Amino acid sequence: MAGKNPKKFNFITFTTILLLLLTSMASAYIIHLLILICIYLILSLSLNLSIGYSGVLNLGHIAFYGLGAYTSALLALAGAPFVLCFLAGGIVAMFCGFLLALPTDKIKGDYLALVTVGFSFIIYSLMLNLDDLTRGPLGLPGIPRPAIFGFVFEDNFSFLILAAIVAIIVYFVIKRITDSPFGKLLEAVRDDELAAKILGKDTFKAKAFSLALSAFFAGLAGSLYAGYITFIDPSSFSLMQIIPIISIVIVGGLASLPGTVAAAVILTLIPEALRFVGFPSSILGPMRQIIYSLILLVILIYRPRGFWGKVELE
Amino acid sequence: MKNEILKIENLRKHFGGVHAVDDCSFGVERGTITALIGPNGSGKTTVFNLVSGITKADGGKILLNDLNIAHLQPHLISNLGISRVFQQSRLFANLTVEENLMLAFDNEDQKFWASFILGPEDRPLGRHQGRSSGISKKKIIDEYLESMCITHMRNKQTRDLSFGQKRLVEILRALINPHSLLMLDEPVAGVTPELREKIKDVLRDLRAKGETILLIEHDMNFTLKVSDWVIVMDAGQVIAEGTPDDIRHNPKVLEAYLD
Repeated sequence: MAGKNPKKFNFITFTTILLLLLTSMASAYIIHLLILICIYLILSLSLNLSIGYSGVLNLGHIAFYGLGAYTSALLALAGAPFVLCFLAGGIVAMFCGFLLALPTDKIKGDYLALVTVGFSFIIYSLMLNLDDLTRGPLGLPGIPRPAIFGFVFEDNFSFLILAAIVAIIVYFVIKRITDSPFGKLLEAVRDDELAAKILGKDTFKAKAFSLALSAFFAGLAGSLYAGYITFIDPSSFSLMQIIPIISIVIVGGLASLPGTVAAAVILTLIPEALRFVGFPSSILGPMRQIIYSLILLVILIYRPRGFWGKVELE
Repeated sequence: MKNEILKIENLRKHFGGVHAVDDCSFGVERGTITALIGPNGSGKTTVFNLVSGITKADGGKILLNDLNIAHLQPHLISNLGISRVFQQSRLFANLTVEENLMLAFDNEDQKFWASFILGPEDRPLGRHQGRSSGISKKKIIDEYLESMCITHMRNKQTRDLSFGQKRLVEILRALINPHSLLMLDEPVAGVTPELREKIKDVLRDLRAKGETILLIEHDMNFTLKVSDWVIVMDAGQVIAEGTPDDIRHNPKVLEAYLD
């Protein structure tokens, strides 16, 4: 069929079948992993929109995730319906994404990456210190599980279906964006911003839009996370949490959505093997970070385009 | 009376203590090929950067159709009708030839919602560079690629093209970008003699169609053959201008090149 890539299609089918097979095995642990994969997938697809397609090295993505989670959790605790909490999480993150985009007209490359890191620290500090709103390090417990039209996603299996539906919708929305002329404009800005300007493109507007969209989807992922874990505290949104997400984007490949799907599945599962090695739980977390960092290093040295990427990280 | 599309008046640009462009004034007449020549460091590319808005002038005026564009952003200047080819390749390296050219037609791709809803389908174009409306962008690209005999490269990523092929695609992209003035910075530098002839023919065709072209070129043979008017710069100033024949025998020009 004209315009379709059968390889990509088969790849997505394969991943879906793999996920369905794992679900059918249906142990609570596997369901938990699959929910995490869905949340990580939304986060990394949205980060790929910013880094891979627009060339904005956004290291503050986790802050949008946190903003989405806190907005959604606070509204849910105040009794707001899930759909409102969910969308509000995305919208608040999108608004902050737009604010973060403001300096992108003047600041570029590594300097912009530093600004996004600074942004991440600011949001983290606010979560930690706005005690009256966020309860600081004590976090927000008792976040209600999502409910739509009276159906409460109480058990993890039903939550997995919700998370998978959101992840699939986000995948196809981002695919539609990146395939559209607007997506090609983003790629043009990534490849050569000056040349895009000389063709009459308002590159600032394009970058601001892409960063805001990317933040919106990260906010949705945060909303899902808050509804799933039912307890959030600032530690889940520290700068270190960006490492797995960046690893997924880079291993899968910049500007490759199927690559991101594959990497999200593989990189979420690999560190889980540590559980079966018998490490004490106190070093499991740091070991995960070390594994992600090692994978990132190896890929950057030997395969800078990732496994399925179109673009080399400069 | 002169019919000038671009008029530069007392333009100045200093980089620290270096006077890159120093009280420079000249005009580009509609429907002609005007060449800007001069030894290395004479300020030609700085003038191009000032006209296209990449560098901001310290003083003076740049009038495009009598509108001062000296302090406008590059994308606004482009939308007012200036299209440019750079000295170095500035193609979008990870996009295909067709995608590079598609981006040049208009700014419809900046409309997010329209772009999202309508998707990647090819849509008929409004009036474009003298063509009537209703023709698809892909069809126009077909014509352009055929004219340069590079149709087979349509789906190649531009990072995989040779230097000369990149040059042709850049010229096509600048031609598709709606414009009233085309600025070419060393269009034949580093290309094969065959390609040089091809680019010369393209420029002559464009002039026959009434295009206005301002070009920088070091190859004097090429410049004097294709240009109608030649402006010579040295140390940031215009030291001579005239027809190619006048310039060929101008002692000031010979001195500037021999120094």
